[in-house]
Amino acid sequence: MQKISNTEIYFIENGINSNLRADGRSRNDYRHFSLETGEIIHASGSARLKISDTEVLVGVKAEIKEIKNAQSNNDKQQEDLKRFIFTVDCCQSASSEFTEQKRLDQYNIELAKQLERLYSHPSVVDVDKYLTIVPGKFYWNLCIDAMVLDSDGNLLDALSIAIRAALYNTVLPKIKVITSEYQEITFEVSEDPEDVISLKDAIENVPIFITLNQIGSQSSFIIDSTLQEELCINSKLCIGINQKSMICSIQKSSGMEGLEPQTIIQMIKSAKQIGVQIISTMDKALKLNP
Amino acid sequence: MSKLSYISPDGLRVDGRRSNEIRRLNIKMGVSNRADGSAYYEQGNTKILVTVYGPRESVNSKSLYDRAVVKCEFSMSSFSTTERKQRQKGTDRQATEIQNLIKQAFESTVHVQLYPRSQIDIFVQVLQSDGGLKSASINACTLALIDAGISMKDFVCACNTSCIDGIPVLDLNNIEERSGGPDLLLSINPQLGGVISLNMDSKVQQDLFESVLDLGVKGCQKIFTILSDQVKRYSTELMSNQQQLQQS
Amino acid sequence: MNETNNPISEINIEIFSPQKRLKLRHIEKKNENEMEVDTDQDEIYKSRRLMIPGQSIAKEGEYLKGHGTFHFDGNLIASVCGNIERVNKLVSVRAFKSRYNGEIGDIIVGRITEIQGKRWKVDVNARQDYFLMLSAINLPGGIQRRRTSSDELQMRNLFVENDLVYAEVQQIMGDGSVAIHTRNLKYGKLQNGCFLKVPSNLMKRSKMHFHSLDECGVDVILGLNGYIWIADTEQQRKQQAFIQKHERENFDQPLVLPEDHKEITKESRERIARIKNSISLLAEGFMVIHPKSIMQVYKQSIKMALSAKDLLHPEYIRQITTYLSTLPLENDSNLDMHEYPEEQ
Repeated sequence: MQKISNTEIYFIENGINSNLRADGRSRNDYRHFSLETGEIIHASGSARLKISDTEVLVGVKAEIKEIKNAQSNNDKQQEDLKRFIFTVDCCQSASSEFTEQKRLDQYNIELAKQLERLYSHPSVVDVDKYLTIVPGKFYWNLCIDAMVLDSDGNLLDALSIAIRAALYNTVLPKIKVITSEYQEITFEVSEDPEDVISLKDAIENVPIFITLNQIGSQSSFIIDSTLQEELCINSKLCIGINQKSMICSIQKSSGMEGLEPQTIIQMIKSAKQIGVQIISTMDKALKLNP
Repeated sequence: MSKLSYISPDGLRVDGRRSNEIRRLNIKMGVSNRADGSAYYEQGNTKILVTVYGPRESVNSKSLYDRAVVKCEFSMSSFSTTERKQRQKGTDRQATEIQNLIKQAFESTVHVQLYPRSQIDIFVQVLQSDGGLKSASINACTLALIDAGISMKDFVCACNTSCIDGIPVLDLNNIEERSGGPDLLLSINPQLGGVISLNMDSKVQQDLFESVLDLGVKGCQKIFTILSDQVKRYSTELMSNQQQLQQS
Repeated sequence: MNETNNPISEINIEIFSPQKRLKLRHIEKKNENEMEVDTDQDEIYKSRRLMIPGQSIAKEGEYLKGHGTFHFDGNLIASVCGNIERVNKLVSVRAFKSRYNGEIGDIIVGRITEIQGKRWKVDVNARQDYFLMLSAINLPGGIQRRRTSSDELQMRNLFVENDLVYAEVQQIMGDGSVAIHTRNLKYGKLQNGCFLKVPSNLMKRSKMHFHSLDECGVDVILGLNGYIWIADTEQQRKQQAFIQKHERENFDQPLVLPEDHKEITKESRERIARIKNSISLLAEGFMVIHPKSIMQVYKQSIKMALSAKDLLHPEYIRQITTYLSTLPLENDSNLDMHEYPEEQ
């Protein structure tokens, strides 16, 4: 179990105040990470991300979703509009913090909901272009399942980056729609592995999360926290950023203290810089390794 | 798929193996820095990650005064199978069954009496499943427990066998598992001898059963050769690193 | 507020496709020099010193059963994977990697997990928590007196949950539980530094476990259980002096360390971080951790003009590991002492 004593917290806080963390990084340093795509052959797309000991595996599975009746109630309609379904599964061994199954389940749902909100805006992925089979009737639903294999902090950011890479890796089979004379629709799925739709170009606007953790003094916040640092957090702000440095989601969650609005503005500024840099580095790297 | 096509006239199976061949094994030990022991195990397209924590202080004070408690947690990713399946933890009956199978297999093999009042946690995570899940999980657990330095009588090597069209077949993949033949799961202690677990469903004649069992034992022995080789390789590597820098 | 003006350092990403996967340290390393090493390694691992669980060592009765072995069906059999060791008639197998197993006199670092009546439970990376009895600590003031019930009520003033203690194994009870003590001025609570966990098998028994690395002004405590404490020498000295003074003069009052006694300069923080990363690097490569090996990494990283955080980068880790492996190998003096028992 990862635990920390008060004086260790003091050591970490002071280090962050003087912009030098326990592992020698400055507040704005990200750890080196490695991505691996296409490992799971049973999924339409997959990616594995490793930042230090944090390891997540994301699989994307595409399903055909039929929209039955447009006049049904509002809730249903909302449900129909969702093209992305997220689940997160933190294994118990990922963090000994989760010894209770109930706590773990809550945490899984919290992460999944946060990711869902990040993808809630319709412009994230061009649905008409990539995910529509028959407009108004049949769509591709992408089930994005993430598995946390091990955790050393910064889970949400890691998940969002891995999901973005998994989407890049995703291919959907081409589907031919055959409408019979009685308006019945049948599908013919192309068997040719070359004849597919790749979502490579669709992820352009897909955002990632940058989590800023405020530790120590009000104005000092860090990115890419380790598990030990996460035990000292005063407050935490998760910001979704896309390639054009637009803010896609903000969430202030957990933490012992409130945040000054001024600090929030500062945090957003940092998040924009870092987010854009991560996305561009990532895209460059992904393009080099098709 | 008609039943005939499981084995071609040349004696080749759907994935091109012969009836007595196992799939390619790919093993890595010590994959997690934080766990006491861990192993990544690939058997064909079945991919499993096992982490072992312990022996450690019991969390819920359900400890036994004279021996360790072995606990196993089995989870499958939703994308591991060809059809996506949302799994509910705690209500998944298949997972519960495998958990019990692993727990029983290792409670009898690990020297639990050496670790009184502690618990050993085994976490099995299936990243991808293509048949032979139970046997692969058991093999992976053996490796992870060895990596954790936990004292045990012997390896536990498991293998599943079946019989298709009267021919005993070793190490089934997902397609073959659905052929409806008898599915025999066998796990043994390869060096000391002794069957740890054996279960078979569907009916089979006794003489055929004997040949299936015989093939199963051979399969387990084969797996043992590969596993022990890997274990030795891995330990040699650790040893050579450790000896480095021992200058005084 | 100059946060946004802080330069953002390079973000490093590596991409692998499934075909060229290099995920694991030992596999990774092997791939590099597979050609030459392979034959060499074959010889070692076929050596009869390496045992795997279930492997038969000898007939029962020829040798005495030591750790990591058991009797079965008239044979002596290994139960862990490791090297066989023989001292006269006693044969044992020591696992390469396992949890810490305490012996009397071991010097360890532990973390308090629970306070019970008259004792603390301490996590030491062993198979169960060890005990620190109220009677096994030095009470403030250092005077010898009976522990009273008021001491029992004030246990939380001495150590609370999650505090780190520096202690020594005192006694191993008949039922396997272990007691530790801090009855020496050098032992006690650890404050204002950072903590690191490594596999306990990498620690070597020696006379000293507290090391002041003079070259960099950093104190390290290498607990035999694999728990490591790193702190700034100067700050620790100040702190020590203050605590001693406090205990002499007014030990009845709770101890409050003044701010200026906790201060650590940025330069020494950088050095602490470098030492910490050096130790992690050694642990990553499963190499023995002692002051000499730590300093080797430390100096090499300075020679390569790396900053402390660069030591987190896999490429530099690889470079330094390669450098360390080129250093001359010293004969393990233990090897000759325990020869393999002859098989009948």
